Amino acid sequence: MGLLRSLVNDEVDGEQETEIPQENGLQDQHDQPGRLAIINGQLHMEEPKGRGAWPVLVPGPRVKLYDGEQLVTKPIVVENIEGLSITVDQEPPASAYEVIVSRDKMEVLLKTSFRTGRAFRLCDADFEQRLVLKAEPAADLPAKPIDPKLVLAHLKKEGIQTDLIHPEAIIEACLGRQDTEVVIARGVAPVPPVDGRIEIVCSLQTRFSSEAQGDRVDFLDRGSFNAVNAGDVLACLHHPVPGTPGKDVYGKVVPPPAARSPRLVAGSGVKLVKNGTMAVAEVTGRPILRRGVLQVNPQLVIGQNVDLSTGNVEFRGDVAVLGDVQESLTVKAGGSVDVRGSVFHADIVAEEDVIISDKLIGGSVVAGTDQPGLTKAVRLLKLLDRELEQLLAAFRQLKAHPRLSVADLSVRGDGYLIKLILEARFSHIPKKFAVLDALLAGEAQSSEEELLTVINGVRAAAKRFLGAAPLEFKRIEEVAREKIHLRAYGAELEQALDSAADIYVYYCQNAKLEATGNITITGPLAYDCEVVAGDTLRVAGNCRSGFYAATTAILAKTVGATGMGKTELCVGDKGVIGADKFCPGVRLRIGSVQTVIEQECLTTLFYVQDGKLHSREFRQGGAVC
Amino acid sequence: MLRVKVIKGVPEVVIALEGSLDMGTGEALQRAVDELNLNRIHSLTFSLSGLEIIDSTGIGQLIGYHRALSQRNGRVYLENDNAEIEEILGLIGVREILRS
Repeated sequence: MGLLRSLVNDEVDGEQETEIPQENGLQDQHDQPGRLAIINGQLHMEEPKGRGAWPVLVPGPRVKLYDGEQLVTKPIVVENIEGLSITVDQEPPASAYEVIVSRDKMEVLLKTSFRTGRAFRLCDADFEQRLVLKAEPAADLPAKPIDPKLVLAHLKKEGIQTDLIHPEAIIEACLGRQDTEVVIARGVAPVPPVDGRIEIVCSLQTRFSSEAQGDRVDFLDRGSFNAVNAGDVLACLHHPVPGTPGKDVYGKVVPPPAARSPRLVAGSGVKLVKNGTMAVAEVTGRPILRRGVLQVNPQLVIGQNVDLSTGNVEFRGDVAVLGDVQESLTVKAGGSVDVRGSVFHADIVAEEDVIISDKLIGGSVVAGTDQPGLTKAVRLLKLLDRELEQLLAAFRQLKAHPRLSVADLSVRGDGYLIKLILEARFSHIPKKFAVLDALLAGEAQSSEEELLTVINGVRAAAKRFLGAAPLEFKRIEEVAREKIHLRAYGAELEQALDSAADIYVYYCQNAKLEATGNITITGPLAYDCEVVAGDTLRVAGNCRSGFYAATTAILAKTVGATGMGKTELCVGDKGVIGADKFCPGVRLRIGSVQTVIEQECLTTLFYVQDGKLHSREFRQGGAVC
Repeated sequence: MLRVKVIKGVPEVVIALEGSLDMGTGEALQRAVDELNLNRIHSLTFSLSGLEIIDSTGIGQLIGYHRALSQRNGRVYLENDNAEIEEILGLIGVREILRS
């Protein structure tokens, strides 16, 4: 510790050092404590007088007190200030930077920090016996800029690619004296690839909703089921486009991510073409994408009754109804219809076979074509061919008759006599032509161009026999020509009919059935129905009341019933009608030959030979199904 | 040449025709019918047994009378025992239309 010195006394005028003795611990009035002061940053001391207390010096915050070389950390009693030195801790400015390389090595960040410093000085203080040394801020010390060269050198040392460095960003960050974080080098990112993808061209909706028609709400119309035709494109595969490699800040190549390469997977009913890049429907049906596999289901399964909850069903493929088809509903299929239950006063239209496992009560079933009128038209044309032949024969016979003068025909044309005959004897010919025209008018709207030509040809010919048009025939040969044309048209229409479709039903009552092929009623009864079979009608049980027509044959167990309504069976001119039992009153027509069963006939097969009705034993029996 | 003999017996009239009923002679028949008041006639019978020739115009004329009388709830009948003329009527279907 330094010795006490009376430095203060030298500076304080008029004050005299006086020693005041102290007794018994009491301070004498001459005793004065020693004191310390900081004046203009310098330490000054007044020595104590008498028994006055010696001054104490306490180092405060930021102030360091040295006694010689030794740092004083606790209050000390100062005997003199020689050897004491005082320093004040300063707060210097700071400038720093940090270079950070991103985890993916694609960016280099420069993080700068600038801290302003502060200069401190020793606080002046008046004389006190106990003096605490304090420091006070004297001035701010601005931070120094960072030398960009330091950063560049750092980057070089790190191995950062020079061409990827942004020097201007470094300069701005270093000289800006503001804390910042800036990208000073950036790698070249790889260009990502374009993933391969599967474009579904068709709709995968189960059903399309119908558009509302004004205020009308059709509760039976729940929209049509989605379907595609065979050959329709379902999906296309677009190959991936590879990406371009990049490089990181060290110049190392960064490969692009691998592109996704989906694969078209064809399930049943779907074929891949064009090296597997295009999926095409092999069958008509409903397109389904299940677990990445594209398939076309040719069968629509309605797992319940067709009723108000399902609405009408229309599907281009096959339809299977596991329940019944309820009143007023329609099931329309581009393929077959298989009803596992019954059909009640509903309409079934199928381009292929129709199977009704239980009853058909009321309603209608059409199998074989969506142009049912064509079947009737073909049948009418065949009938008309024969009847026009009869007309021609009658005309020629008349013209050759010695008692008929034909002089007027040379003036009026043959058409006058033709019209007379048509009105008087063959009035059914114009009527049939009128029906034919109406039938084909309905078909014309939905027919292909080729078929339309035929239909229009038939209709034009038909119109020549309607109303007063027959008067326009100049010569009978024109009728003969029309007959030839109509026969040819009929053959073309017949070809246009779809391949024969059959109907199988267990029981039918008060219903209309029409098939281009066979109709088979497998159960006990067909009652009061209107049935038209393009080929053969087979009834395993009884056939009572109604109209039953077939081209080739009608074969039944029992036909007609006593006391029941009229039962009429009709086949083509080369057809046969056979049954185990014909009841009296049953009307039969084979070609143009008609008869009414007057007495019960058993196991009889009727046919026409040389224009006359014949019969023989019907051996096939009722077990025809 | 057509001879038309009208046997008046209103409301049932019988007209006997002889000769040829054709485009050239039909006018004679028409005059005879015109002289009759069809409104008062219930039935008109044409006797054709004396006809030797007929043509489609003549037949059309007969059918025309049938239509005219049918509209007044009257009827036209044809009497004929001439097989050849009957054959012509049959081939054309005249009797069928008169029955309708």
